[in-house]
Amino acid sequence: MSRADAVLDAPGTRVFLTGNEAIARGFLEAGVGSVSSYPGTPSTEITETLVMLAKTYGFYTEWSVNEKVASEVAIAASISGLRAVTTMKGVGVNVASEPFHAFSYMGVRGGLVLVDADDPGCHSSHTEQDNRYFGREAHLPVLEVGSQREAKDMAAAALVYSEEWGQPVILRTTTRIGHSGSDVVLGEIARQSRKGHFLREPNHWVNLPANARRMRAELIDRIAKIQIAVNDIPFNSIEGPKSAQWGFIISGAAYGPAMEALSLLDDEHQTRQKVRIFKLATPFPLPTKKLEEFIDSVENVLVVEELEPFVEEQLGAMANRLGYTKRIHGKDFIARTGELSTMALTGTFSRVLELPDPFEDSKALELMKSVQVELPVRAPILCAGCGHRSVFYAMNVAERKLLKDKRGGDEGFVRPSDIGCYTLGFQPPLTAVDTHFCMGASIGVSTGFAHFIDNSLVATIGDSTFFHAGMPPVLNAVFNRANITAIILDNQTTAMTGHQPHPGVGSTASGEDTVAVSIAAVVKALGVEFVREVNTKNLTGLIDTIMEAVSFDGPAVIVAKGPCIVKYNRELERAGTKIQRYYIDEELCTECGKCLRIYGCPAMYRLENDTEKSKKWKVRINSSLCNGCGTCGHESICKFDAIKPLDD
Amino acid sequence: MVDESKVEVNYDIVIAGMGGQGSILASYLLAEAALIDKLPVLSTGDYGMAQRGGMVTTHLRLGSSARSQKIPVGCADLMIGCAPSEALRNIGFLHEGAAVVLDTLVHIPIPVYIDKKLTYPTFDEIKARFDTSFEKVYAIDASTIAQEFGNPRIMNTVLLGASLALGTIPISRAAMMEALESKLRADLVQINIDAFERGEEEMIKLL
Repeated sequence: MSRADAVLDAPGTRVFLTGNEAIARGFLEAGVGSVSSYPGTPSTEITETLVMLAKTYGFYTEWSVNEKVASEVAIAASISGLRAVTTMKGVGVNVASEPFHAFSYMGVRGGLVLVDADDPGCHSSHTEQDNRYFGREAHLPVLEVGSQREAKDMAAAALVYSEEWGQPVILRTTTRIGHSGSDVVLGEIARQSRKGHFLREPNHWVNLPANARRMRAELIDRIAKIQIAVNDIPFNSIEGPKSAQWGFIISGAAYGPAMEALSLLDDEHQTRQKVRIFKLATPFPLPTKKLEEFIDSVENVLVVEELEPFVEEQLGAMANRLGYTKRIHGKDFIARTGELSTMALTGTFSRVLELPDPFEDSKALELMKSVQVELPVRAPILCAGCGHRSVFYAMNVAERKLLKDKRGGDEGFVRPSDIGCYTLGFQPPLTAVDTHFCMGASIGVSTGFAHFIDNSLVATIGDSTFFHAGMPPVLNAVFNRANITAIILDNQTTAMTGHQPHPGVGSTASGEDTVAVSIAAVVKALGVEFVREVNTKNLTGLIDTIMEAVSFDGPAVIVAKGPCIVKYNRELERAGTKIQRYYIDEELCTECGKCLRIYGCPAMYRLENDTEKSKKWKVRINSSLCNGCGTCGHESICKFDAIKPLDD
Repeated sequence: MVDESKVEVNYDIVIAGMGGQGSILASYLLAEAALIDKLPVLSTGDYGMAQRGGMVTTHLRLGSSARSQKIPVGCADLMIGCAPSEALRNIGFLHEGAAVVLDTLVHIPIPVYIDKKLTYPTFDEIKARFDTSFEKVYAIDASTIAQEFGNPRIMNTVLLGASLALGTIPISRAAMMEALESKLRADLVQINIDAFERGEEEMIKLL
């Protein structure tokens, strides 16, 4: 089932789309001319869907090397008069920060939308960063999607508004919106027909201080006009009685759970008559006139928003300016961390409305809590056959050998890692990740640690992440003589986000051939003397090379090459090629269990789990999960040679 | 567009499994079938790191009064447990009269093998836990059946067939068949229909 087909159904059809697919369709309906992005959960599927449709509908798409460049490509499209989109995960906006802060002064020609996919609850991100603040700081109007049913229309409108207002616009979604699905009625697709054209306007496109001072005043004026315009957009809407005891101002993804919570309370207590709802789609700039009228019509105000008190604080300032005596409630009742659930909001609403909470003493809740205590968490781990496992395992063996030989310091390795699947090297039994916090930081912090601590530094970073933000810190290691080892995990794809191409792959987003940039050649050109390429199936080679690199005096880079096994095997299967899998020879196996305990491959399991007291480990390989890397047969894992290729 | 006679229908399903089992695809298929039957549908999944064997939970809400993407605690009508232990983890989403359909194969996470302090429930323990709270608990050997079919990935379709055979999901069999036929890769349609029918048979034996 190709999901792109659903996005393309005829106008008027009701189809099932995820929020991200609906956003992609919305951009199609608004005649998008250019889409440039760096993949990042939960934003990826928007661009991924558009990539599949670009040729048919005559617009440009690319996976860019990082969010900053993606934004600059989008800005170029806008300056050229095209409608432009760039999509990224919430923390990716940090990387795109500088071009957007500057371009905000200059204003758009073609509409420009930055899709910011935030992640309340940290489902797949390292912070819960609330980018509504970024919008306000950079003077970018923020349209916040409140449900996947409105996602399509809001995406289309965002491109139109951006052009009308002359300002780049942020379309803010969250994991919950992007990864939820619903029935959506499709509109007409507008095939983009604009031709890019550069209008030479030096006082507009050259952001020198003299121009910047003038443009800043123009920017403030522009935002003031947008502030008036947002009073009348349909996404800012009011529902409920004409006046009420309470006014709830609900922003973004909190809308669904909040409305469900109200309906749970409504049955017995006529809650709907007590509460007037303002569904707020523009947390910046606020529709102040409409909000004033709303606040005048209610006795008490509660702001319902996820994460930070962004709207609440602005309303507090507004109320102060207008001399209101009404208290603006918000985070005094509502959690600042994670997503807002129906249950949590039912609790909040029952308190403010002085009603009994239907979830208090809930048996279901008690049951849920009691079960969590008994069940170990099923944490994500590296896939069976993943080349990253070989590398982390080899690092551990190399470290032990060096410590035994009293080489490479007495304190072992410090192992900074980076953003990607390999972060999962953190999990036992590999336990080979000591720091992890942002793109490229594995090598960056290593070049710092090298000056401050005695341990050997072994950084791990993926290929796509290396191209994104890993090249400057390698240069810094060379420049500032930092004695580090960096292992670049080259699996020939951006695996974590679903296998997008990167500059080392040799093909573009649209599948056209391009130069496959050699990572080894890049690091040599950056001035690294010690550069080795090793295949991830070669455990002995990995162990020896890591020992050599750590012992080398100066920056060393190992490119560990092995394709993402999931992608590679999928291609083999499609081509009808048999995958060589492995099994455990019961006659040779001494039932020591070492393979499972030190290598931790999820294709392995232990028979007779219920006899925990048994010292015997009858380990087996699940042939339907084995991806056939064969590394578990290495002598350091099974010295009895009991792991054999499966012959069937 | 939406069948007005069905706007009062409300049916909430939790599908609990782990990355790679196809529980998200199962939810898509149910959603497509619901659409064919002109039912409003809302779904959501927690699957940020699903590929790598982590927990995957999908919520599917059929009917127009659902507003929140996630099913509130204690409100779901049906649990489809692609991984029994993950079903147990989500037990609190079910209301007292809910039905539970479980595969019988327990997948033990790697850390349980490594950390001696950790233990993991067997299938019988998991089923017993459901039995104490719910009357309608059905164990289906879906993984074993899928192995017999020669394709472990159709385990989810066996469970779909078993679940639909309960007769409580407001989706017609015809719509479900149409969804299987129109939304799966052509060469996988027949094996999935066979798996679906086998799931139905297994459930009928239990009813």
